[in-house]
Amino acid sequence: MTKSATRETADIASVVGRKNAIINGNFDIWQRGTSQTADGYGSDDRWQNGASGSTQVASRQTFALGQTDVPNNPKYYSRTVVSSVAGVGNYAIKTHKIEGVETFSGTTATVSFWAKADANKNITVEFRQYFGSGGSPTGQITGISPTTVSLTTSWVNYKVPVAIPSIADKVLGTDGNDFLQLNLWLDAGSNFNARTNSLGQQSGTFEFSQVQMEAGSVATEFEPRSVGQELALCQRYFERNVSFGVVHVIGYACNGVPFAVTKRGVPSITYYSTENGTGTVGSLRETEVSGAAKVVHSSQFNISGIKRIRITSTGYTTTTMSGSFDASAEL
Amino acid sequence: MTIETVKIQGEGWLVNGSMSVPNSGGNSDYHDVQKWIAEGNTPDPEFTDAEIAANAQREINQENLAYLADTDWYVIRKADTGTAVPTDILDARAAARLLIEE
Repeated sequence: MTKSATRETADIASVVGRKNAIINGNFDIWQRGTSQTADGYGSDDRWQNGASGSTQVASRQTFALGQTDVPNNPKYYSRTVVSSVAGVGNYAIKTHKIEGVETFSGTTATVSFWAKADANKNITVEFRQYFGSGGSPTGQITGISPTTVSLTTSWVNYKVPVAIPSIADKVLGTDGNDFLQLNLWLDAGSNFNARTNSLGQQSGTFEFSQVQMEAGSVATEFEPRSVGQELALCQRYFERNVSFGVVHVIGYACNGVPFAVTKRGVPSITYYSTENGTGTVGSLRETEVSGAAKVVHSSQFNISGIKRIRITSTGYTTTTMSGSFDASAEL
Repeated sequence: MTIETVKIQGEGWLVNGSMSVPNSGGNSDYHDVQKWIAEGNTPDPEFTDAEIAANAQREINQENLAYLADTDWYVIRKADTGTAVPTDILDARAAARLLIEE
């Protein structure tokens, strides 16, 4: 490749914003809500906040306007408050699944992030390769390059180079759900010593900003993407529809509802009777007649949208059903 | 995801009465349902037309009972002061009563 072609490729990558394999590394997008206590996806998009035995509260925090501790003027950061409970299998963890186990395989990549804690505390950065389900895939590989990172009470930019194993001779599952997983271990019982450099158990407050993972052994400056770009990237995996309406004739909604972004795979759908994930769960609102919530008995959908919704079998002629929905195709 | 109930819904499942999970191995909720079944649980059968109709009638009853409750004050006012209930309200209340089935 010529020098000019290399430059052009770099420019295009910069415009499209794909240097960073982490989606929502700037914590701009919080479609589900701004805090969660349950294990799983529930607040910051694309980030799975997990805990077992121990408990955690993950939440969105706002940077002071004009602060200079963390560059690029990020608006939000992510906070996890861990209450550790002793137990060999207990843990608290913040994870991010990067679609495609081939990502960075057989190369060195670098994770960089800004972080601080309520006191000097260690966390562990670890990776996992998951080859998917369906067929006879290779078993998962855990404990990839566990690295201890010592946080302080001030924002510091940490850079962790990691050798991601080659996937040569491995077998992918047939379901298309393989991934590379970044784990930020905050609290880990002894069952996880091999994966966490024996991090151990601890309570505390852990805060993260501007997480980036890029090719090579050198961390470059965090690459901000526009909120619109970031939202679209997140919506491949999860979309909270703000509101929609469908014409409904004798028990069936007739017109389809396209998703804002085509999903990674066939999503799970949850309906709500009012806007933005509120109201009666599992129902839609009969807008023109009574305004009452009606149970959705079934619906048909695929990766591009909802095709048909069944409200009831009798009693109505033409009306409009409205509400909102969640479509989740998370890894 | 904590699964409490699973109901067959077409080729997929209705989980916890609110989430439609597709029969697709690429969906992470699908694997939660499979795990729940492997633990010895059995999904409830799909809604029958009769169940859907019963749910619909229940919703119709709720709506019309709510309408009657909302307009009861007209009737009370008539009893207290003699002010007549507007004809359109009387007609709508009569129609609401016809729609309610025990």
